[in-house]
Amino acid sequence: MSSPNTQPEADEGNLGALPNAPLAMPKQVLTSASWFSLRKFTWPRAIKTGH
Amino acid sequence: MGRTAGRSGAFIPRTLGLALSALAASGAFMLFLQFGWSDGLDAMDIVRSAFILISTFWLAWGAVQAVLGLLSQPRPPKLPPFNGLNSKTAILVPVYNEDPVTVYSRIAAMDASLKATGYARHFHFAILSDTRNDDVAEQERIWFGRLVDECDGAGRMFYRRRTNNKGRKAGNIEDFFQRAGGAYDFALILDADSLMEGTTIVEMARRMEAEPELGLLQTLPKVTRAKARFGRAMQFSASFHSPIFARGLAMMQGDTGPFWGHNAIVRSRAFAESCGLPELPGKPPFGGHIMSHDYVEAALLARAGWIVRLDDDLEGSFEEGPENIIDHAKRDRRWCQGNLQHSKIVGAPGLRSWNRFVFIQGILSYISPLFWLGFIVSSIFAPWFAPPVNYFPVEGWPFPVFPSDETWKAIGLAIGIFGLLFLPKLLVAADAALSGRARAFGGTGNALSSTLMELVFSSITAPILMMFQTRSVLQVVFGADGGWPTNNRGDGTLGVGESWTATWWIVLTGAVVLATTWFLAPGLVPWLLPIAVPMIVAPFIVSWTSKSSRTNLFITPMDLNPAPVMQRQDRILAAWQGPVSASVVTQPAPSGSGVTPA
Repeated sequence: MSSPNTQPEADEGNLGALPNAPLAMPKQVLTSASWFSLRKFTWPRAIKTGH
Repeated sequence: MGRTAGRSGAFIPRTLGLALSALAASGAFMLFLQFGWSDGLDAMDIVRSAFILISTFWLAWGAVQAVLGLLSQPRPPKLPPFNGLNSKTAILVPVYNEDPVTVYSRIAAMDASLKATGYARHFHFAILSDTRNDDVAEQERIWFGRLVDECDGAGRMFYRRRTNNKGRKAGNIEDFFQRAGGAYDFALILDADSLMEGTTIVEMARRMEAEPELGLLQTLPKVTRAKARFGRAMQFSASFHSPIFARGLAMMQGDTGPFWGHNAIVRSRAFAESCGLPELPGKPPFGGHIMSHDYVEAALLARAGWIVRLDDDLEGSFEEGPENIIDHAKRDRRWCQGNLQHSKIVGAPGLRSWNRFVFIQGILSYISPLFWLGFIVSSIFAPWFAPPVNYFPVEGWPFPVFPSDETWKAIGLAIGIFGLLFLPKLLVAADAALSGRARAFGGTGNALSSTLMELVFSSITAPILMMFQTRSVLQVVFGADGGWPTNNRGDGTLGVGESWTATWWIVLTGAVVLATTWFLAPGLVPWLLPIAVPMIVAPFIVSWTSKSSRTNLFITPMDLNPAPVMQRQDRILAAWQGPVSASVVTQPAPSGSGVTPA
C-alpha cells in the first residue's frame, strides 16, 4: 500500500513557530498492471449486503 | 487505514440516475436510427446514432442531477448539542504568484470573523507560498508583516515559501502535513481566492469533531465579486443553479465525495495516511504529477474507509471565478489535462466503484464536445454515404414504395435534446419562484429574466467553449503539457485585438465548416448557423463579454446583501490600498511573526 516517505524540499522562509509535528504521508498505489486486472474491485456496499 | 464509512444512502439515487440517463440515451439512439433507416441504413447513420447515444446520456445525466436536487432540501446532519471546540485546525492558504495584498486581506477578514465567534484560538493560518516570481515573493513577505501586526497574529499566522514546487498545489499541501500536520486535528484547505465566514469554519470543525469517521467535509463555495458580463453570468448560474445540481450530485456521491480542492476541511491523520500522491509513470500530460489531485484524494480517502461528504447546507463559503472566456479556457485547459490524466488512475486497486465512475464522468465531461463535433461533421458528410432511394424494393411489385415520413420523430428528438439542455435550468427557476428563493436574486421577474438571458448567453458562448475544449483534449491526447500557468484574478477586460489573437483559429474553423456545409449539405446550413455564427464572430463575443456589466440582470444574493466577511475584506483591502499603505510596504516583518527572511 505504501512506499517510504520522501523528505520535503528545502525552503526559502519557513513555518517559523509552527510546531515540528511531521505526519508521514506514504505514497499510495494508484496504478495497476492493466485496466482489467482489478483484483480488488469493490462492489457497491448495497449490492454486497443486499439492501 | 481509516474507519469504515457508516452511511451511504446513495444506491437509489445512483441507480435512478443511471437508469433514467440510459433510458433517455437509448430512446434517442433508437429514434435517430429509425430516422436514418427511413431512406436506407448506411454506416454513417450508425456512427451518428452512436454519437447521439453518448451525447444524450451525458445531457440526461446532468438533467437527472438537477431533478434529484430539486426533490430534496439541504439538511444539516444530526449532531449532539454544541459545547465548544476541543480541536485545533490549520487554515491552509496556498499561493502561487498571487497579489499578496488581496490574498492577505481575505485572511485578515476571516481572522476577524473567527475572532467574532470566540473560537479564534482554535485556528491557525498557514500561508504556503509556491510563488516563482521573486518580486511577488518579496511583497508576500513584506505584507505578511502587516498582516501579523494588524491581526495580532504572532504565533497564529505563518508563512513559508518553497524553493522547489514539487507536486504543485498537492505537493505544497503535502509538504505542510509532512512538517506540521501532526499538530492539528484538522486542516481547512483554501484557494488563494477563497473566503469563508468564521461561523462556517467553526461549524465545519464541530462536524468533524462530532463524526470521527468523517475524513473530509466539502462546502459549496459561491462565486462572488464578478464584474464582467461573462463573469456575472457564470456567477449567477453558480449561485442560482449550481446548488441544486450540487445537491443532486451529493445524493449520488454519498460518502465518496466530492472534493473540489478548496473550501473543504480534512482530518489531518486521515489525509496524511491516505493521500500521499505518487508521480504517475511516464511523461506529462498523462504521467508525472497528478494535476487534478482533489478527485484522487477523495477517492483515496474513500478507499481507506473515510467518509467524504458535501454538506450543501453550509453557507458562508466563497470563491472568485474567471472574468472572461479566455481565462475560463485557460483554467479549463488545466482541468482537462487533469481529468484525462485520471484515465491512468481509474483502474487503481481498491477504489470504490463510484469513485471510478466519477473519474470516467470527468473524462466524459471533457470529451463530450468531441462527440457533438463528431455528430455535426458526420451529418455534413452523411449525404455522400446515403444510398440512392429505391422506390421499387420488392422485386416484381409494380408500384413504388415511398420512404416513410420520419419528420415528426426527428422533431421529437430535437425537442427532447433541447429539453434536456434547457429544462433543468427552467425547472430550477420555477422552483425558485414557487419557493420564494428567487426573492434573494432580485425578485421572481428578475430571476426568471436572468435565467432566460443566461440560457441565451450560454448558447452563444457554448460553440466557442466547445472549440477551446476540443483543442484542449486534442493537445493532451497528442502529448502537449499545459504546465502550471498563474491564475489571472484581476480585471480581465479584453480588446478585440487580444480576442482575435486567442480565437482566430475558431473564426477560421467556423468559416470553413459553414462553407463546406453550404457545398455538401445546404439543407443543414440553418441548423449549423447557431454554432457557426458565434464561432465566426468569436473575437467580438469574447471581447464584449469581458467588459463590465451594467445590466440589472444576474443579481445574486451576495450583490444585494454581501456577507459580513466580504464587507470586512472590502474595508481591510480599501485601508491597505489607501495612501497610508505606501509607507507600510517598506516595513520589515516583525520579529516572532513566523517569517524567516530568505
